[in-house]
Amino acid sequence: MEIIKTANLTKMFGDFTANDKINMTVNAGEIKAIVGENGAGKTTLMNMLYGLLKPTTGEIYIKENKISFDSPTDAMSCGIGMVHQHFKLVPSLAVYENVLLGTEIEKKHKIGKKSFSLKIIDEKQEIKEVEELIEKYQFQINATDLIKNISVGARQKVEILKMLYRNVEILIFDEPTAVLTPQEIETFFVTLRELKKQGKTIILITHKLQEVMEVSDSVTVIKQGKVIGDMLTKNTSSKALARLMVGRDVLLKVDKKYRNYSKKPVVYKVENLTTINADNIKVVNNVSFEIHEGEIVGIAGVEGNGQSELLDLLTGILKATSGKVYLKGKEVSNFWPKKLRESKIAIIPEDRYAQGLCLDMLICENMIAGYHGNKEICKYGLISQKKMLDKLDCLIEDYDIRVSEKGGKISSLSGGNAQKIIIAREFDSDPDMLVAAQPTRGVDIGAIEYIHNSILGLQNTGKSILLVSSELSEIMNLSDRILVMFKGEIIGEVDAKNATREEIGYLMAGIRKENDDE
Amino acid sequence: MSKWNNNLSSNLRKSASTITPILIAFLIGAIAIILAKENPLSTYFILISKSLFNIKGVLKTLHYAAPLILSGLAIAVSFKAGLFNMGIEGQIISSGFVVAILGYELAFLPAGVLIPLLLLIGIVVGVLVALLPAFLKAKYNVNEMVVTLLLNYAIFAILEFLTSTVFRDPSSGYVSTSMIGSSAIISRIGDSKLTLFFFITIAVFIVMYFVFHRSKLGFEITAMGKNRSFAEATGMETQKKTMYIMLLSGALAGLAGAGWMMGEKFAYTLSFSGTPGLGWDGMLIALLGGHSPIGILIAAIFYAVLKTGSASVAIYTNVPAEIILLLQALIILFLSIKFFNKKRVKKEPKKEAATNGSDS
Amino acid sequence: MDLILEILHDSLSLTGPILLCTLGGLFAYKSGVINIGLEGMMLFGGFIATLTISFTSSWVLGIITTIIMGILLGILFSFFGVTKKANFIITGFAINLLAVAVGKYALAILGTNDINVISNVVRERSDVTLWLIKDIPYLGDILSGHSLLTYLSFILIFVTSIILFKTKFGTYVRVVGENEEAARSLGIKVDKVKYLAIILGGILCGFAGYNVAVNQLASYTPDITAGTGFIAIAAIYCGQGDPKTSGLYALVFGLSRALAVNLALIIGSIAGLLDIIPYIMIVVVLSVVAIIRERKTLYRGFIHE
Repeated sequence: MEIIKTANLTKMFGDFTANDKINMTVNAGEIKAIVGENGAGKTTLMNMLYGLLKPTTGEIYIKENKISFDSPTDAMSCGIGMVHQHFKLVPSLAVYENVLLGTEIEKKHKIGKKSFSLKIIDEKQEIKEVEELIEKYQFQINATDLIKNISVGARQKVEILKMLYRNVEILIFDEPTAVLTPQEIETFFVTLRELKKQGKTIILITHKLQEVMEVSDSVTVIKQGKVIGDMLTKNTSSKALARLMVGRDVLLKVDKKYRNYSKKPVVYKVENLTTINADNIKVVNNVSFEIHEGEIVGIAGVEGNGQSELLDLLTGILKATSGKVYLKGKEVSNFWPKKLRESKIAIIPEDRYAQGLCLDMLICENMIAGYHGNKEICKYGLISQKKMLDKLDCLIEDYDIRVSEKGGKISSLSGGNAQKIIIAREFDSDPDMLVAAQPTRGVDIGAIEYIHNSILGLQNTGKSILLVSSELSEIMNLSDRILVMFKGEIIGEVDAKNATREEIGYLMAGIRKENDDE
Repeated sequence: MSKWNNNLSSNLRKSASTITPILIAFLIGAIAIILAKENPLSTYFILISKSLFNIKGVLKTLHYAAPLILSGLAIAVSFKAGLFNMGIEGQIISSGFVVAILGYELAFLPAGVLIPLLLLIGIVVGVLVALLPAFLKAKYNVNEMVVTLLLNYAIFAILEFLTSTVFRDPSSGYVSTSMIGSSAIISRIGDSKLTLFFFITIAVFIVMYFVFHRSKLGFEITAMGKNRSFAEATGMETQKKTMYIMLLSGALAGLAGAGWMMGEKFAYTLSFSGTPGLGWDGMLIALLGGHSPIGILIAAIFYAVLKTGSASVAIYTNVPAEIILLLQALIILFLSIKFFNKKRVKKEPKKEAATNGSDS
Repeated sequence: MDLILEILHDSLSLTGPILLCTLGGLFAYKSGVINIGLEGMMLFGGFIATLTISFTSSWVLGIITTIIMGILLGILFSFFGVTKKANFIITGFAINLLAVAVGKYALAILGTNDINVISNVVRERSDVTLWLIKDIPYLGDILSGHSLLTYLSFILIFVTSIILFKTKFGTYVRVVGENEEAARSLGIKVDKVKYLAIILGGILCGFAGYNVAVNQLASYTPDITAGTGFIAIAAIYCGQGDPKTSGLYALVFGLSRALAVNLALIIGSIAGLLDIIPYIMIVVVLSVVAIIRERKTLYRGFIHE
């Protein structure tokens, strides 16, 4: 039975067509995967189904009734729920409070026969109902725990509970596995199959093709806002899907040459680096590693295990409580970002628009930021406009950055081109060492290829690189050695050439290899 | 120069979003004028004509514009960096007070020495008053807005006390310090009100123009105001810069106070800075001028026109001079919307970026 | 001894308006909006209350117009700050300046220096004598004989606490302040919650103005607030938005004002200088609280605020 059907669904943002006459059907009780590149229009489509966006033209039918949603509330009352990629939870509230948010139960008081409400929330009743729900689906979580104290996997379950409590029949998951360990992903699939067994329909938005193959019943491929393929999963393969998505054969793996670097001199050395957060917890705990000349060392781990803090430490934003960092034998511990760059450490920050670029400043200004005090540009405290613009022209050319208007702001650039601005800026400084964090987050496949090749190109000129990424495949494809972080510590190291996902997955979940335990 | 290469439509939008709040304010102000049983149009005509339509009026307007330009720049330099230094008023009156005292005590010095000395002292006083909130903000992130605001009250009370006791001029009929010596008075040009201080202001304005648009500091001020994380991550050492910027702001305010004392007031009284005070006027001017020096120059002159005119309004009509306060508050109120529009572009994608990975 | 009792008694009275503003600002603060306009909203309240009372001699009408004024200002601020997405710091400031401007302009038109309601309000009658408690030695002297609004302000600490932490509305206010997207995704009307929080604040600030202008001074001039709104903001910051802690800071600030007032009476000539005590003290407290809090962070430039 068709539970969702769209007819010529179109969404325009100004002149840009995000979704172009989408015709798609979802059958009741199936797991439907929707795949496509970043920016292909998957999220736009789902946001229309969930009432966050209004279609420009076209119709949506739920159980053969034409519907029109003004808000997610409308969608939920029609039985559609969504679990967003970035969870919409309130950290300071308990699990049960988050589940019941928006549908709180208030205490009833009685005087004689009349009942009235003082508008006070009935916590006991709320906890009871949520506990029953947890029991029904056998989720291993505690209704009274605060969100900020539970794991990412558990938070995802809270998001699912939120929808189940509202009796949804259709559950949309937006990139649900992005933040999970390989093992947590397995548990998640078990949950999905259980939900399917209970009669729910599931829509899975993802770009991870092997997951599509593993768990879905049917798959729809979207490219540049159009449906370009619709098939049963059993009739296709990851390779075929990838070809559809990108429109050509994709090298899912870059061409990387492995060498033995252990004999080369150590360029970058981190020694017992430790820092604490506001709650006195050691978020980075006794981290030590070395990077040799021309080597790429990757740091993998589930998000939130101290990688961000380690990056902040190494890029001079966060101070260490103890430990040392050396570059070519010279100590650079607790250097400010300015001194780090002066010491020839280039930085690709984790959060592109928070630390790497200023959206509301000109492209040329961003192109010199961090190096704006260099003698070639800045004399007597004055910045030469001409040299700034010359540099922009030069780097746009060299790094093939597509800029519609040179005098424009960063906000006019796509994610990939914005990231290339950072790459150009940092690589142009001729660094000895590069700290690169999430270099390809949220950019399209074309830009990913370019950025990966640039990083390998930098390596070929003998530079050392530290790569931190939450995309395990990126780490595995680019690194020579992989370190895995867990709860602020480096829990293990593997040789990238022979590493398996499974091996790294165990480390990411905090399980050490046997021979490490001695 | 791409920076000024804005296309026509964005320029139009910019000026429209500046002029609209003024028009709305005048429209609402008209209601207040009707309440005072006067004709709004003729009242507004008086407001403008007396300060704009003759040479003497223009020179007078420029005279009043001088401290406003400085105070506007003082506000803009800190606001633009995202620092709400509301202490300009306190810095102006402190500087004015000290200059009044020293201008009296050191009157034996020749003007050629005394005037530059007092201007310098005014600047130093402004910096010193700004020092505490600057330090607290830079070192410990103590909310600079609340601190500077509350210190304004304290400073006013201290100066009131000093003026009415230790430094009171016994021969004066009201609470006032003694007049500064004639060698401390900045001379007027011809028989106009305009003094040399106006040209000093213009010189400072030119310097500040380069600071805003061409200098490394200006670049960093812009970056800090638009995205503090970005500024810190690209090595701008925002805590140190916070200190510099707050002190620069204090210096400009100090200069404004000194100039106002030596070119217009000559003695410190409780109404030295007027109502609501030069510092608050500066806020309107900085907002109206969009935190850019040229904009501030125009806004300061515009506001000086109103200020000069408001006295005439009180003389020629039943509308109290306080109409200017009303217009000022209303313009700021309606400017607060425009203030955002420029930022809007940045906020939305930034939010998304900020949530990236913040689920940890 | 009498002086101490007098200081403590005055502390409570003088805390009243600070507390009302603090609690008023707290709802907005919790919903993620910093209302700099508390001061102006309070001043408008005092203005409209005295104006109404001087014309009608009815304190009930005074209260009603104060409430209406609070609602209107709340709507004004919300419309700019929430609907129009204005920079609400600037909007708040404009409201402060507007309050002074309207006051001064109105006084100028009316041809008077203040709006005096001393003949309309018998101060003793507006003060409440607490039965039984008034006879307790010392305590009675401190606790009894305040205006109704003063008592109300203290009761409101607990009411605010309950509203914020035990009711739907309060939960929504906190959720909106903490994670607006979470609230929106579940169909909570974010803007409506903010409007209500701000309007509630407008009313409480109006009461603060009423309390000062009618109960305490029986007269309105445009300087009666003397920074109360900003003191309240300091109290909110110090107490990190918790009603009880912020209330406690409001009390501390009230005490410092009472000290300044009472010491001035006995000290004489340098009395004027004592006015600075509350301001200096608040700056000190604010700094100490911030220093303790910020010493923990190892982030440079306080970028993770």
